[in-house]
Amino acid sequence: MFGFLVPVIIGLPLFGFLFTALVGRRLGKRAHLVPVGAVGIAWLIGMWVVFNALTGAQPFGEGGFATRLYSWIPAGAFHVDVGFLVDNLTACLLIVVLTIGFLVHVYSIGYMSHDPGYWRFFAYLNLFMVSMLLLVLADSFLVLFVAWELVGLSSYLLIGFWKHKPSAALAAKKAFIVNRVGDVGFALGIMAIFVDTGTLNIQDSITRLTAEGAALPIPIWVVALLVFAGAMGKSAQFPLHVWLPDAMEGPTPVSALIHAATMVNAGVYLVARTNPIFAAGGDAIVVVAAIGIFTAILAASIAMTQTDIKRVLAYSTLSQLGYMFASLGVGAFTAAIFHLMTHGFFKGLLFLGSGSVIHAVHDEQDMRRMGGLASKIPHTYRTMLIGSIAIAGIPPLAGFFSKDEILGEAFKNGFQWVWLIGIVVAVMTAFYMFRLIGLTFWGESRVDPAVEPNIHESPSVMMTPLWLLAIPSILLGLVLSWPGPPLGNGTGLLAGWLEPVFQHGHELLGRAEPAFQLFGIDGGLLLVSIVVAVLGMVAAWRLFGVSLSGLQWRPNPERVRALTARVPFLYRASLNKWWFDDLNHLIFIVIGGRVGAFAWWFDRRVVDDTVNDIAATTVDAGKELRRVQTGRVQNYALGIALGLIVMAGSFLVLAAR
Amino acid sequence: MIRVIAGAILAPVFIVGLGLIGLAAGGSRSLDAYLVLSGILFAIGMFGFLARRNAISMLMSIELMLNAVNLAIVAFGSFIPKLGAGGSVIALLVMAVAAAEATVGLSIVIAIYRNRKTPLVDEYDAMRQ
Repeated sequence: MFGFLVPVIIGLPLFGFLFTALVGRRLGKRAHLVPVGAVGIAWLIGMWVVFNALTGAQPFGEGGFATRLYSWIPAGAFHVDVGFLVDNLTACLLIVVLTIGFLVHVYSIGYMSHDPGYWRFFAYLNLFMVSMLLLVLADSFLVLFVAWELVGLSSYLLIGFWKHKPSAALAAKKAFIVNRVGDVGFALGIMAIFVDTGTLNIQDSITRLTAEGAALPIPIWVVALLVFAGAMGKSAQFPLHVWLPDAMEGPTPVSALIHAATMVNAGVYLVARTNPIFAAGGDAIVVVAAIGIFTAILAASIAMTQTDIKRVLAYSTLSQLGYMFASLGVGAFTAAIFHLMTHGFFKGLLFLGSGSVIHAVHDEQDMRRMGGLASKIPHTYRTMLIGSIAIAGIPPLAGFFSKDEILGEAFKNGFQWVWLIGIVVAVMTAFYMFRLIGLTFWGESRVDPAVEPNIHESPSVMMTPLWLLAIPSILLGLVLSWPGPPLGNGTGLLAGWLEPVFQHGHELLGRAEPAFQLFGIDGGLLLVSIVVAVLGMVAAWRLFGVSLSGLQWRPNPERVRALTARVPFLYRASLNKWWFDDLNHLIFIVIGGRVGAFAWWFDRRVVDDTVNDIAATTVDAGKELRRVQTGRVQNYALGIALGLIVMAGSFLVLAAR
Repeated sequence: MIRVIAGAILAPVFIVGLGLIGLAAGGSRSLDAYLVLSGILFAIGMFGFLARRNAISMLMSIELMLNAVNLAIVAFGSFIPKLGAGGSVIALLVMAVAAAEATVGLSIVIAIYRNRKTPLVDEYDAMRQ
C-alpha cells in the first residue's frame, strides 16, 4: 500500500502544477482551489505515512521503507533507479515540508489575492512542493540532485515572481548563480561517490564508503567536502550566503516557505542524510562546524542593524542555519534536525507574520516607518511575539530546547569554541528579534499618516495559518525532547526516532552519549543559555522599548545613537553586511569584468583575426588566380608551349654542361 | 591579341634557332638536317595552333605538329641501326592516333559549330562560366 501512497504524495502537487500551469489562467480567482486541495490531500496522506514510519509499523521497521518506481538509467555498470526511501529522517522532514507547505498555500490565498499573477504563483508553489518532496524522498544521489536543481529552479521563479521589478529579477539571478557555485561541488561529489563505490543509491554508497578497509580512489574527506559545498550553496552558508537576503525580493509566503522553512534546510538534510561520510571523513566535519558557527555569528551581527523587516528575518535564518551546521559539525546530528524542525515552524511563523505586517501597512517593509502596531493588528502581534520568544530561546518555547541541545552537545563533544561563539550568537538573536518587535509593534507610531487610518488586520485565511504555526512554535520543543513519560523512553521522542539513522555516524565518531544530568553539566549549560537569552532580550528592551502588560519601557534612540557612535567601525560593518556584496562586486563584476573584456578582446583580435586573415588571403589569392582561367583553349595551349620550351631549354642547358 | 604577339615572337625564335642548330650540324646527308626540318615543321604547327582562331585551322596545325614528330622518329629509325624497325612501328602508331584524333576533333568541331554557329575558338567560352 505504501508503495502506492508515497509516490502519490509527490504526484498530487505535480498534478496541481500541471493543471494550474495549463488552465490556471482561465480560472481567475478560483485558481487556488486545485493546488491548495492537492497539497491538502498530500498532507493527509503524508501524515499517515509519517505516523506509520515513526511508529515503526510494517513495512517501515527500523531502517525505513524503500520503494523502487522504475529503472531510470540502465547503462551497464552505471545503473540508476528512481525510488523513494521513507525512514525516520525523511518522515521528520515530511512533517515540516508538508505542514508548512500547506499552511503557506492557505496563507497565499489571502496574501496574493490582489496579484494579477495569482494562478502563476500557485503553479510555482506546487512545482516547489513537488521538487522539495522529491528531494527528501529520493533514495539515489542522482534523483536527489535533480530535485536539488528543481528546488533551485522554483526558488528562482518565485524570487523573480514580480519580474517587472528589476531588483527582483536581479535577486533571482543572483540566487540562481550563487547556488550553481555550490552545485558544481555537489555534482563533483556525486561523481566522486560513483567513482568510489560504483553506485549512486544513497544507502548502498554510504555503506561502501564507510566500510572497514575499503579502497577508495578518492579519499572520503574529499567526498565529504564536495557534498558540503552543495549544502553550503543551498543552505546559504559563508561564503555563499549572499543570495539569501536578496531572495527576500520574492513574495513573503515564498520567503516563509522556501527561504526559511524548507528549501534552505535541504543542505542540513543532505549532511544529516550522509552523516557517516562526514563522521568517517576526519577533519572535514570540523570544517562544517567552523563554517556553520562563523555564518551564525556573521549573520547575527548583520541582523542587529538592518531596517528592512524581512532582511532581519533573512539574516536570522542564515544565523540559525549556521547553528544547524555547527551542530552537524560537532556530531550532534539529532540536535541539528531538532533545530531544523523547530526553526522551520517558528521562522515560517515569523515570515508569515511579517507578511501580515507588510500587508497591514501597505507594502512598507522599513521598520523605521512602523511602530505601535500592537493594538492595531493584535493577532499578528501575538503570533509574532510567540515566534520571537521561540527563536530567542526563552523556555519553554520550541527554540529554547533545540538551541540549548546544540550548544550543550557542542560543549560536551569538546568544541568549547563553538559553544562560546554560539552563546554570543544567542545573545544577539534575542537582541535583534526584540529589536524587530520593539520597532514594529511597540512605541510610537511612525507610519505614514496617509496610510495610518487604513491599517487593518489581515483576513482570517491569513490569520489561521499564523495561529496554527504558533502552536508548534510553543509546544514542539517540549514534545520532541521530553525525556519522561508519556512520550519519551528516557531519550526524548526525536532522539528515539532518529537513533537508527544516526547510529552509524555516531559509532564512526566514537562519541559516547552520557546520560543527561540536570544537576550537573547539562543543568549549568541550560542555565547559561537562559541567562544569555534573557540578557539579549532585556538589552533590546532597554534600547528599543517594551510594552508588555505591566512592563512599560520607552524606546531610547539617543542611547542607540551613542552606542553606535562608540563602535563606528562595527556599526558600519554590520549595516553594510560586512561589505560582502561590495567584495563580490569588486571581484566578479569589476575584476571579473576586466578579465572578461580582455578575453573578449583576445578572442576578437587574436583568435578571430587569425582565422579571418587566413580566409581573406585565400580569397584574395583566388581572385588574382582566376584571371589565369580564361576559358580559351589557345591560352592554355600557350601555357603548354611555354612549359615545353622551358623544359626543353633547361634540358639543353643541363645536357650541355 | 596576346596570342598573335606570342606566336609571332615564338615562331621565329623556333625557326631561327633550329635553323642555326641545323647549319652548325652541317651536311644534307646527316640526321641533323632531318631534325632541323622536323623542328621547323613543329614550330610552324605550333604557331598555327596558337595564332589561328579557326578551329579547323587549329586541327590542321595539330596534324602538322604530329607529322613533324613522325618525321623525326622515322629519321631516327633510319640513321640509328640499333633501333631496327622500332622507329617505323612508332611512326605507324602515331599515324593511327593522328587519324583517330582528326576524326574525333573534326566531329567535335562540327558539333560545336552547329550549336554556336561559329568556327572561331575564342567565342567558345562556356568553360569560363
